[in-house]
Amino acid sequence: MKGLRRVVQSKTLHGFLILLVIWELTHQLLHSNIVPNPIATGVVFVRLMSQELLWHMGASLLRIGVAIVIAMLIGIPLGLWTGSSKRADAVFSPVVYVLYPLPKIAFLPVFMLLFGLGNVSKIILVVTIIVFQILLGTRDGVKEIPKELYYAVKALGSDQWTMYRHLIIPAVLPKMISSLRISVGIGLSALFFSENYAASYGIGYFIMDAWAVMKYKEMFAGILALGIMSFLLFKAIDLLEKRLCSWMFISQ
Amino acid sequence: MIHIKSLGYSYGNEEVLKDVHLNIPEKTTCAVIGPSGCGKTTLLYILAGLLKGYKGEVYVSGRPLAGVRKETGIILQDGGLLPWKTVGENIALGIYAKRRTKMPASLQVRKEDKRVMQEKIDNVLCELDIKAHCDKFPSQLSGGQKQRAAIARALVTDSDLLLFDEISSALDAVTKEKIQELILRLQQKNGLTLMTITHSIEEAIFLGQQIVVMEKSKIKQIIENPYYGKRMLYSDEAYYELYQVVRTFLYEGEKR
Repeated sequence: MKGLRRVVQSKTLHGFLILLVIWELTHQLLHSNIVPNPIATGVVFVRLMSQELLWHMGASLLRIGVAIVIAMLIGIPLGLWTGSSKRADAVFSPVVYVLYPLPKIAFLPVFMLLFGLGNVSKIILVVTIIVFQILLGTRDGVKEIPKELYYAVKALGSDQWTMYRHLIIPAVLPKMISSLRISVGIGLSALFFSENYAASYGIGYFIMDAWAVMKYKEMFAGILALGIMSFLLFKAIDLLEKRLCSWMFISQ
Repeated sequence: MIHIKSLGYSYGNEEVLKDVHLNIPEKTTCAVIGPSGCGKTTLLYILAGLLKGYKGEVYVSGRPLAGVRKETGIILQDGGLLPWKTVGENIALGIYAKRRTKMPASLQVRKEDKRVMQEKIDNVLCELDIKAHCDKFPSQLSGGQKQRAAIARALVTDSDLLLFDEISSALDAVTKEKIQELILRLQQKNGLTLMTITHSIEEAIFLGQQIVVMEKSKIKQIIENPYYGKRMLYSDEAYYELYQVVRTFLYEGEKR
């Protein structure tokens, strides 16, 4: 009973209901099968989930997951380095500033020529999009550590390891996670785009394939799946934040 | 304890300290007072071993100062506590950081060490009357409690020299007096040497056996203070006179 009440009162549920109402209204107004109604789409979605849709979602999630991990492995150390060394920052930042705004999607053909048509080129594309956000977020996080705090910990006799472990890394985590949150959205869009080329698995391929054969309910089931994936990714990041930065969520 | 001879320091081209001479005998206190930007905080950072590349000689406890000294504790205005650690964890970091620099080979803290460490932390928490806040985060503490926690972190490693940087400027009147009295009590009980930087003449008179008045990057005057540790009223004539002397030196420094 209590559980039921919690579900009914859940703000997340209210949000989804609003989304469904807008969807249904669009369907009613357009009066066309290009935007199918949510319930019919839901039925198709459930049917497809037991067939191949789950695999497509899995393939896309795996790609974005691997891309996130690689981007963090590259971006965090570089961000920590450029944040704490003025010289490294002076060398690296101009490079980053040139590369960051370039539309990486434009390089997809290059990546495909260099790394083949498979997963590697798609993952590299997403990595190049996410990595700059994480690098800059981490760098700015390090730079924003108040000087007094730095001195206070240094004066305890901390060595380099202690400084990183107890001051610098915990201090940049919130900023790092918000840059991850921003970049995951862009990363998903780029992944969708890359999956239109030479792919036989992935949610992007699924949606465009359904579109090509005019199966609009299937197409919308795919869009629904993409939405769910995005929701799950953002929820996972929220959870990570609550876990790693629990001190930010205590009531004062 | 502290022996400074013709100390100079510059940030880039800007000279923030020049030709500073100061002696602070062991187990005595010294209050440094001066306008903002006169170099007093730089002086404190140098004594804490945080700034390298100073000119002149600095001896702490008979040895030339080179880097952070194990028995020196600093307490900054907002306490300098890590917001992601509880009070207890912040204090433990004081022990942990120093232990690592002493013996870098042993990464793991042994079990009995942990017990000894906990005991030490408990003692210092009791002494500073913040035992109840051990598991709270700094954002859940009042200004005075933060200061107590920061003092605890400095004391837990058996420091003999404490450096305070404008610790009471953000506190209300009552908390300010309580912290000042606490500092005085700890100093006298543990025989600490103490340097405190302050904006307040009352605080300088209460906490400093020597009062050092600074003006732009230099020491203007050092005043021996007979009223250290006493809460005096302005109606006391001699006290008022001393207050005025400090005030006059501060004003003169300001004018230039």
